[in-house]
Amino acid sequence: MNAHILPPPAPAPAPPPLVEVSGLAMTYTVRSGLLARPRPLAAVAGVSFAIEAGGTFGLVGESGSGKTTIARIVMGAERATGGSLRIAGHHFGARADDAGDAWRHRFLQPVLQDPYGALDPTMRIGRIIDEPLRIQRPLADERAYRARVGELLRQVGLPQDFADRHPGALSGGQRQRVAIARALALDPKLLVLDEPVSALDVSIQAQVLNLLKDLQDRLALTYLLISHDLAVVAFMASRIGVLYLGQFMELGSRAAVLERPAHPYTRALIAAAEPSIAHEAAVAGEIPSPLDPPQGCAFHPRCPRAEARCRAEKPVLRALGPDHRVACHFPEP
Amino acid sequence: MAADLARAITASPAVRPRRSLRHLARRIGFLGAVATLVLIAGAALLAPHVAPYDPNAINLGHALKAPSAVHWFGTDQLGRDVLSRVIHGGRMSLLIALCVVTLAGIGGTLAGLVAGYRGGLVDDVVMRLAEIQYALPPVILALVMVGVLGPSTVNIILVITLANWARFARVIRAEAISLRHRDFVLLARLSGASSWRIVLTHILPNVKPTLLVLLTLDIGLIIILEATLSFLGLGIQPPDPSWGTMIAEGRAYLERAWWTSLLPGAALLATVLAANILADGFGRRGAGGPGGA
Repeated sequence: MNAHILPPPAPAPAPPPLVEVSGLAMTYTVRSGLLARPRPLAAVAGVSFAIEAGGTFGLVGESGSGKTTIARIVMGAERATGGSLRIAGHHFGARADDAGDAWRHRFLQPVLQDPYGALDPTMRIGRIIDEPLRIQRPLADERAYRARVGELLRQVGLPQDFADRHPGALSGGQRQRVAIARALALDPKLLVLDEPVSALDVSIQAQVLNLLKDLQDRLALTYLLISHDLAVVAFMASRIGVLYLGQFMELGSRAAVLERPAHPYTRALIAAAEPSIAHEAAVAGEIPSPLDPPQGCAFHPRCPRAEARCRAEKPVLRALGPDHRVACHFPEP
Repeated sequence: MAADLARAITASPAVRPRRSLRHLARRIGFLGAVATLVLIAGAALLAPHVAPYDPNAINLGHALKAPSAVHWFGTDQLGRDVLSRVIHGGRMSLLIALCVVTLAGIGGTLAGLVAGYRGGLVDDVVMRLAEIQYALPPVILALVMVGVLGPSTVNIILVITLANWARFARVIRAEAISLRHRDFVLLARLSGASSWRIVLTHILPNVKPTLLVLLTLDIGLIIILEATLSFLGLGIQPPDPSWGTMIAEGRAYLERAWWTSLLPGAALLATVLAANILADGFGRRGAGGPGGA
């Protein structure tokens, strides 16, 4: 009627990200001896990132970088000591929120690293896969469970008769497929993949990664992927965060981080992942103890380009491009 | 390479026969233990029908007769048939052992599961109670309790249960603690499973092999403890037969009539040994031996 006098529609605002992590911190208190004073250990020290719906955010870093702690906080195994976590509008702060947890159990499921520890050896595969259903969304009868288990097994590329087997009869790759089938039982929107292939043979890794990509396309899943292996993250992720001592060194789109790496640590990781085209040496040494983090830039003791400023002043994440930020005083061009 | 070589060596014909011979001996031992227990339990269950005489029938004219075709195990100082008394005594011993194993097994396992899975204050309370029980010698505990409550079958069962629950609680607690950190428990928790659900569907099935070993091992220990108490006059009261009282009563005639003490002792030994061999067999199975669970 009077549509013609309405102002032209504003450009649709970008949908809010599915997962928003801001200033996330996890500090443990550690006592090194009976009489020693308890010391704070910052496993995660103020990490912020967002995952858009349908995307894959890849967290990469060495062991001890805090990536698994972040995964455990997002999946709900631990509660952060600071910062906030927002999943599809639900807020998970430092305080317990049982209703939110119940919602999270259906919205998000984890896939863990060790496919041997993830499956109860006393249960049949069918019961392992339908356990979340029996807890959250009971079906009418055993036939319905069997049908759903069969469907899930088919989705992960396993024959239906696996439902009657015990985990002991399965290989590592088959077990990880079962773990994925279980994670999908409640039709979650978000999967937290904590080193999903690092315990598998190299030949199996690619199959499982392809399966995960395939499932993401078919089921419109969003992934938070944790890996120490940059090649895995490069294959899977749409955005990448490079973690070191509980902080981001570099953060951005896959293309920005992999094709225009600005942080010396990112460059070292890339060099280590592709030794054939390495033109700079991988960094030496080990990640420092989070109990005794270095002054200034966390990476300076191992950085080939460290200068006096790096030892004194901690760099903040600053933008290099539209979706590319780096925490370095002297980023590579 | 090395693994293939090792496999080739263990599979070589020089080694295999000895391994299978040991395996065969173990199997025969296990089956023998099962047969012994079935025989003793069957005799105990059907005692009134299989015992040749009334176990309490006194015949002073036939006192302390050596084993013969008439009295297979001989007679005691009152002329009672020892075989009949061994059979009826076993009925009592096994009844008490079953009651105690059920009560202490359920109670101790429950306490251990809750203490191990929950931890914290519950764990502290349960473990302190278990330590108090460990510090108290069962015979002293029995002396006090029977002294206060008087000797009766129910009181004996109570005393032995009190003396035995803590072993279950401690072992099961240790297993529950290691199990609660396993990934499949975390995944169940992140699917919204309640603590009870996790304990019943994940922890309990995983401690089952250990529990089976504990239960069978405990049967032997309970029978010995009951015999000890009866031997000291704190258990089954005369004239009712029990292996412990029979051994105690026969002691005075040991030089003239060995059968009055030794044959009930042999029955005790056979039962306890069979229970232990059974427990050992279950343990091997649980540890992933042939035919493992």
